[in-house]
Amino acid sequence: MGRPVVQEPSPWTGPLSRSPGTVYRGRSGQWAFVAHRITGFLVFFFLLLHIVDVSLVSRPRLYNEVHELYGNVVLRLFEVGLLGALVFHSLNGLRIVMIDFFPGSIGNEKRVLSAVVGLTALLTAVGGWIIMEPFVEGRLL
Amino acid sequence: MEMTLAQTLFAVALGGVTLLVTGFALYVLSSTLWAGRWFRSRHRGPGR
Repeated sequence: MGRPVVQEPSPWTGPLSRSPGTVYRGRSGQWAFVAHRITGFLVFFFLLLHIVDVSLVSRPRLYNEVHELYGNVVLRLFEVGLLGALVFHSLNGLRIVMIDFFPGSIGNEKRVLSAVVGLTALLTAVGGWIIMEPFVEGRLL
Repeated sequence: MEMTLAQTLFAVALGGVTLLVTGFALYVLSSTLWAGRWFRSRHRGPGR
């Protein structure tokens, strides 16, 4: 029989918290984290559907039917959003790796995030034009 | 254009994913407003 263990309240949770300012709000790093979570969720769930539509390749008629949907303007807009999410998630992932491997680079974190956002916008605009071009030129629908 | 069963099912699945992602995005965005309520902050009152 040992001494009863008295559990200390966690400094991280509960109303007795003694940890001041542990939550930061509105800074660039937090918004990058929020965007990374959302884009990761979107990419993951679309990947699940993508596995389903590609797995239909052994049934050519079904495969063609389902892939006809991707020509629809609504799905083309969805793909532009997906492209943006994918590019942001990839580039921001590289930014996180950079901070992990080179902690000294944290001083440039905000500028790198700006570069990530700028590059995401540029690549999404270029890719988005390519995706939407057939619709804009009236070759579809 | 009439949609086939496969197209309808896939469109429903895509709509479901869209709703799921939208809900998750709202949850994550809103968490920036309420997730700090268990922490003391230098800028806010205790226990809020």
